[in-house]
Amino acid sequence: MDFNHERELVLGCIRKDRNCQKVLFETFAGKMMTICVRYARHHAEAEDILQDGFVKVFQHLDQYKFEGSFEGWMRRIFVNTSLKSLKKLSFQNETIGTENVKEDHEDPTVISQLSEYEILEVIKELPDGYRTVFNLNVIEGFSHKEIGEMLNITESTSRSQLLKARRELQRKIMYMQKVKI
Amino acid sequence: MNRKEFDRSLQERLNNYSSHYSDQVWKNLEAELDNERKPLGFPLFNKNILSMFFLIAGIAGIAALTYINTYHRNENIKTKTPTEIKTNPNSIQQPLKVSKPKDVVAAVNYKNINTYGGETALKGAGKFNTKGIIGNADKGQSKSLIENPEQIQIAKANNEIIATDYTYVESSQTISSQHIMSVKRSGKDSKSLNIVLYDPKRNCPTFNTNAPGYFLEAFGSPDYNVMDLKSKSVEFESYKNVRKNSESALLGYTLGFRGGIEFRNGFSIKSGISYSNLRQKFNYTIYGVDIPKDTIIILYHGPGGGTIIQVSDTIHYTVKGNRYISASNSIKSIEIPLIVGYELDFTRWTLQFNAGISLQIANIQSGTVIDPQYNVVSYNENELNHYELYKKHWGLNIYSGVQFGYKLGPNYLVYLEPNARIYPKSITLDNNPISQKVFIVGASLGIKYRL
Repeated sequence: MDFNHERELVLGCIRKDRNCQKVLFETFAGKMMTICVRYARHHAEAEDILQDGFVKVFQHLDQYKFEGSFEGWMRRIFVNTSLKSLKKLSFQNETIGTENVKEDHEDPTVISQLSEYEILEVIKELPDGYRTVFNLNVIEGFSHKEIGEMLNITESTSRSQLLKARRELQRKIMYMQKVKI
Repeated sequence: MNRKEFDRSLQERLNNYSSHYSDQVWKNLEAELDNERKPLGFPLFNKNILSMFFLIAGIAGIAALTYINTYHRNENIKTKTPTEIKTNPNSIQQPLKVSKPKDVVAAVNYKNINTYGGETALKGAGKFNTKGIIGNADKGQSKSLIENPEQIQIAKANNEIIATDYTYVESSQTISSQHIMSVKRSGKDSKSLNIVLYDPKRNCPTFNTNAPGYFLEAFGSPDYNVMDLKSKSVEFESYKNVRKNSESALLGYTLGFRGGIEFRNGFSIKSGISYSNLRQKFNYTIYGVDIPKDTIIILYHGPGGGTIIQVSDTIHYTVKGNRYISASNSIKSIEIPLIVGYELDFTRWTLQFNAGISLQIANIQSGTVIDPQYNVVSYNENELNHYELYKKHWGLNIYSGVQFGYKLGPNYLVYLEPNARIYPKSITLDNNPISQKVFIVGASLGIKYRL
């Protein structure tokens, strides 16, 4: 979508024009749904987060200053909405450091053979804590310090969760490859 | 490819990927946006507004009908009864004419009572069922002794029955009243009449005994419940929506008995016991579950040039699918009400405004729900390790109702009473992340017996 069209659409939504709201929804819902699917425990919860996220988008649209990517602005709203929907995660009290955790490396050739749907399915199977940290660090690009502040956990807990997430992800991907064969 | 390049590749692929969502998402979103757009919409079925409506209607009704009732009582009797008959003292009583079904004009010849054919005349009018006289002077329903013409005049002005056990006037008089059930001669004394009242006005000065009456009633009511769910913190907002979408009301019922005392000024107090069954439907879909499947594979193989051998094998595998769960929930409870009422009497009809409290003393819970971890669980009390959702005792609820009664006789009355009950406190346990309040509307059909 070009900038002018996007601008007109946003202004229409601020005026609460229902047609503009529907077009905005249809344009971005698919990608935002992918964010919701990555954080939610199941599809129904993901759809709830999608609905709540768009309510917040329409409520706070007047705060968007047309600086930076509109999609990026929406993504931040959806990530925050997803985090709020999750129950407090049980790993908050974990204090294990990362020194003794063996670091594994994903095989890039294996993952490139999986479709996006299969990657999402694998991410969805991760435990809540692993999945959240993995999404925030690897996909959203937050640092462990930022993740610690967002989830009220220590930086080392965030690192250990990510390492475990990567190991678990690799294990599941390897299993999927064997099944495929 | 190092880790950073790997993460970047993954990021790019997933950020550009669009996932499927159902059409219902936009519909729900649109409904939510519509609610925001119309803040002044009148929520017809809002429980607070309904309760206030009953209260205001009750107060307005009492004021208006009390005014109308007072006006009605002060009306000139002649305009009320256009078919009054005055007879010559020496003439034979003419058959009664009745202008309205419930009006009775009884022309009585006091002096020459022998010529009065009161009972026959009333039967000829055919407007009252004199079969099985429902009362007589002995039971105090027509016991006032009018001894002089002045008293007759007063009674007529009040549009009340004049009952007498003996003749007392020189000239003929006319009586009219809506309260006459029957008139007949009293025993061997041909000069006296026994006039039976249908139901004397409670505030009638002539029959004012100041003594309250007692009554019993039995009733049944279909009920419809509305649950108001609120999450106790923002993080459970999605969970609250899932619970809301998975539970819907079914028609329940209440049965009960009450007894009470009614005073001559129209007020009454009643209490008793009632049994309620509050019902709900539970529907939930679990997406993307592994559904086990079996398939039998039959293989044909054989050594070259030899016998074909058939081998069969069962392969177990799983496919992704949706599981649809449906269940009926019910909460059975015993309540003890304490209700104050005020009744307006319109001869055959009554209108009573009731309000009070009801204490739930016990309940039995049975049903299915989604827990905060989005698992489908049972809160059936009879099951071991059941999920604990609701409190065992819900405490007090506030009751209000408007009763429309129809008298079958001076002792029996049938009624229809639309009513509402609201539990002001949450019925879920304190450690549950959802606060849940209940609002119940019903329409009681009952029968009341005055002792």
